[in-house]
Amino acid sequence: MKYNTIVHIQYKLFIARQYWKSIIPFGLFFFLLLIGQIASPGFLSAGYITHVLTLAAPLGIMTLGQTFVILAGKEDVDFSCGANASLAIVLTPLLLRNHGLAITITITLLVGTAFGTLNGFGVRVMRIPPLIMTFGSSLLLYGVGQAITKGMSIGTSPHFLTAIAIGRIAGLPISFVIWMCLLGLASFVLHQSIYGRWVYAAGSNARAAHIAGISNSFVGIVAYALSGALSSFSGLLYLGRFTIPSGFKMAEGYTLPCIMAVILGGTSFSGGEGGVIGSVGSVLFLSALDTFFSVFNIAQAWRTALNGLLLVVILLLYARRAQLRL
Amino acid sequence: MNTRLQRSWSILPGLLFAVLITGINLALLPRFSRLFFSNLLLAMPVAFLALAETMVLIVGEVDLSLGPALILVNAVSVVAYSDYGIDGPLFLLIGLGTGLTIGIIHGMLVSVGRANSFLTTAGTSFVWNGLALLILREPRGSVPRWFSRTFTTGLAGIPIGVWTLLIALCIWVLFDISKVAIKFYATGGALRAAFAMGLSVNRIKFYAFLLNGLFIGIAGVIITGIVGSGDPRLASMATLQAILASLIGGATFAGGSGNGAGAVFASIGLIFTRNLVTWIGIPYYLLDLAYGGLILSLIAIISFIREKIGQTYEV
Repeated sequence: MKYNTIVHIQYKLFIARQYWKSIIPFGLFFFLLLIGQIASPGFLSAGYITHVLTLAAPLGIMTLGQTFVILAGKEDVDFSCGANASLAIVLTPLLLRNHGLAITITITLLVGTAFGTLNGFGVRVMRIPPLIMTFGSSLLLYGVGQAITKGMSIGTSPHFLTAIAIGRIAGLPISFVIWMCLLGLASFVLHQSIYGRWVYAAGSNARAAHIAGISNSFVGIVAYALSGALSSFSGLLYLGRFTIPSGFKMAEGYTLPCIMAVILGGTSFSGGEGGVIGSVGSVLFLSALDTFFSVFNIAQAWRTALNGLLLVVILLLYARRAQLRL
Repeated sequence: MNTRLQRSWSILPGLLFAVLITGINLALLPRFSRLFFSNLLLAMPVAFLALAETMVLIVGEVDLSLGPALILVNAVSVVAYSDYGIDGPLFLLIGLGTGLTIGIIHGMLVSVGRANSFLTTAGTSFVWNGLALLILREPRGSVPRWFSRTFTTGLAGIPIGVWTLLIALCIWVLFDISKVAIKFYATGGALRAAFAMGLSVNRIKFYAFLLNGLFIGIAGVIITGIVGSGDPRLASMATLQAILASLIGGATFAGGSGNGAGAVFASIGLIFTRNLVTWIGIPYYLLDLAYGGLILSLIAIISFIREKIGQTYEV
C-alpha cells in the first residue's frame, strides 16, 4: 500500500471516530426513552416527543454559540450563557414598555452580543482565563438584571415570543424548526466558510494559527460575541415559554447543561475538535433527563447538585489531561 | 527565579492596599475606628478563602467553588448542632472535617482523575450549593452559645478578628519556611521539569487541595460564628473576592507564584472597600453590579499588567 493511502485511511478512521463520538448522546437519549417506556407503558407518545423538542430548542440554540467558543481555544468556555439569557428575559419586557417589538428584540440581541464581545475582549486581549472572565461577567450580568428591574418582576412576554416558543407549525414546534435552521447555518459557517477554518485552526494550535496569519483575538472575540447573541436569543425563547419573568436569574440553571451538552457531543474541551451535530443528541438527552426529574418530582436543589455531578462525570470521561510522561 | 526573599516582597501590594483602604475608611467614615475589629472579623472568612485559593494557584490549579463550599461548611455545622446536638470541640471539628472532605474530593478529581480544575470546580460548586440547600432548605438554625459569645467578646481580651488574622499569618509563615513550599512552587512553576526531577507532582497537587480544604473549613467555622445561623445564600461574591485577593498577593493563573500573607491583607482591603462602596450611598439593587464590576475590572487590570510584563500565561 502506498503511504498516501495509509494516511488517507487513518484520516477516514479519525473522521469516523468523530462521528462515533457524536452518536453516543443520541444513544443515551433513546436509552432514556426506552427506560421511560418500560417503566410506564404509553410513556412514549408524539406529545411527549414534541414536548421534549420544545424544551430542548432554547438550550440547543445556546449550545451552538458555546460550541464556537469551546472550539476556538484551548481552555475557552462561556460560563455566562445562562446569565446572558437571564438578562434577555428581564430586559425584553422592560424595553417593550417604550419600544416596538422589532426594536426591542434588536436591542436585546445587541446587548447580548455586546456582553459576549466583552467576554472575548477580556479573554483574548486582557488575558483573563476564560472561566474566570465569564464567571465574573455572569455575576455582572445578574447585577445588571437586578439593577434594571430593581429586584422586582416586570411585565410579561409579548404574544409573538410565546407563539414562537411554544407554538407549532405542521406538527413541529416552531422553536425546534428555528433551532434546526440555526444549526444548519452554524454547520455551514463551521465547515464551509473561512471563519470556520480559522476557528478550527486557532483551536487546535493557536501558535501555528498565529504564524499562518490568523488573528487569534479576532477568532476568539467573534466566537464569544456569537455565543452572547445566541444566548440572548435563547433567552427570548425562554421568556416566551415562562411568559412571566419572575426574577433576574431565570435561566441560571441552563449554564451547566449548555457546557455539558457541548462536551458530551464530542467537542474537545481543549479546542479544535468536534462540531455542532453531536450537541443535538446531548441536548435532547439532557432535556429528556430534565423531564424525568419533573416526573419524579425531584427538588430543585437535587437537580442543581445532580447537574454539577453529571458535569464532573462527563469531564472525567471526556476531558482528562494526558498522563505526564518523560 | 522565585526565592523566599522575593516571595516575601510580594506581600507589599496586598499590605499597601489594606493600609490605604483602611486609611481612607478612617478618614471618611467617622464610626469606622470603633467598628474596626468587627469589620476585621468580617474580612477573615474571605481572607482564609484567599489563602485557600493561593495554595491551589501556586501549584497551577484553581478552585472556583470556594463560595458554595463555604456555604456547605456553614450548613453542615449548623445542622450538626441544631438537629443532632453536636457540641463542644466536635462542633469545630465537623466544620473543619467538611472543608477537608471537600478538599480531598477536589484533590482526587484533579490528581487521580486528571480533570481540568477550572471546569471541575465550577461543576462541583453546583454540587455544594445544591447539598447546602438540601440540608438547610431555608435560613435557619443556631450555634452553641459559647461559640457565638466568643465571637462577640473575643478570647483572652483580644477580639477574634485579631486572633484569626494572627492564625492566618502564622499558617502562611509555617508553610513558607517548610520544605513542602519549594515543591509547591516547583510544581506550579515548571510542571514537566519538576516531574522529570522525580517530584511526585500529582501528590503535591493533592496536598495543595488538602490545604485548600482545610482553609475552607476554617473560613466556614469563622463565618458560622459571625452569622450565628445557617444561610444558603451567603457569600455570592466570595469566590471572585478570594481570586482577586490571591492575584493581588502575587499569585498567577499560570502557577508558580503567590504570597498567602499578601492575599490575606488584600482580602481585608477588599472587604473594607465594600464599606466604602456602601457608604457612597449606592442603592441596594446596584450594589452587586458596582462591587462585581469593580472586582472584575481589577482582575482584568492585574492580568493585563502581568501579561504586558510578560510573566505569565503562555498561549
